[in-house]
Amino acid sequence: MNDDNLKMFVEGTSRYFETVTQKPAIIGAPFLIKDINEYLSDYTGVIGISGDYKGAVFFTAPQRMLRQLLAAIGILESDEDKLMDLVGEVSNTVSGNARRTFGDKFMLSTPIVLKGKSGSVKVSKVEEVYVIPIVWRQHQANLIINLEE
Amino acid sequence: MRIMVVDDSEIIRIKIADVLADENFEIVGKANNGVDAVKQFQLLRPEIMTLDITMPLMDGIETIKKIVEIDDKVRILVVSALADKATLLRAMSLGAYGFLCKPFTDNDLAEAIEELIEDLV
Repeated sequence: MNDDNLKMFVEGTSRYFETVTQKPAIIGAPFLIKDINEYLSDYTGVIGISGDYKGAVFFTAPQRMLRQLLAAIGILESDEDKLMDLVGEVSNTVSGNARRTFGDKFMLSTPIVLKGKSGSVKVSKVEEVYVIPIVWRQHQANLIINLEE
Repeated sequence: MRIMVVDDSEIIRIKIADVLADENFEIVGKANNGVDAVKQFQLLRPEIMTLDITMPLMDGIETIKKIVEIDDKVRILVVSALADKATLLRAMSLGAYGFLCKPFTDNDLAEAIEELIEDLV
């Protein structure tokens, strides 16, 4: 992943929050990590990537943030199914928007959703894993990028 | 006018249906994958469909093909996060009438639907 590709994910995440909630998120600079499990939150949406790139994109967020995000979208019920749906949809939207840069050989799976900090998520060891920190209404979430060309 | 909403995210289905109901459209059906969308379409015959691309069982591209075989006059608005030009062109060449990229605002959606049907009203 080069700086331009990471910047594209930063911009995509920023665009999601600004468009959907009209309240911008603060997106931090990407940094490298060793253990993804230290950065997982209450709910995690995972998009598997295949084609020209291989790996996964994760969006992980605390329950309270997701409840507020649902309300900002206009969905007042926030049962567990909707919280899981939401993390999947955010991960799908940010990953799908990346095709603007990567093209249609950047193939996306439908979302897989994890609940809790399982401590057992394993990712490809070939390439680096980057975290892009997101702060929205004082809640901390992360976009985690694990891709190899 | 009668609309069917197809997306694997319940949140997106609710959001699209709410915005379009406020614009006085009649929501006649909702589906969370292409297979169910085609089945419902045969029964309900809506005039407009909003359609996601990345879905389980049958994706939006295959769904456009099946729907257009049944009725090539239906107005399909693709609502997808897939922001690449190739996907847009493929969807349009198969019979979609419009393309709205996620994320979208309520206004973006209302305007996209208005453009979709401007020659019908």
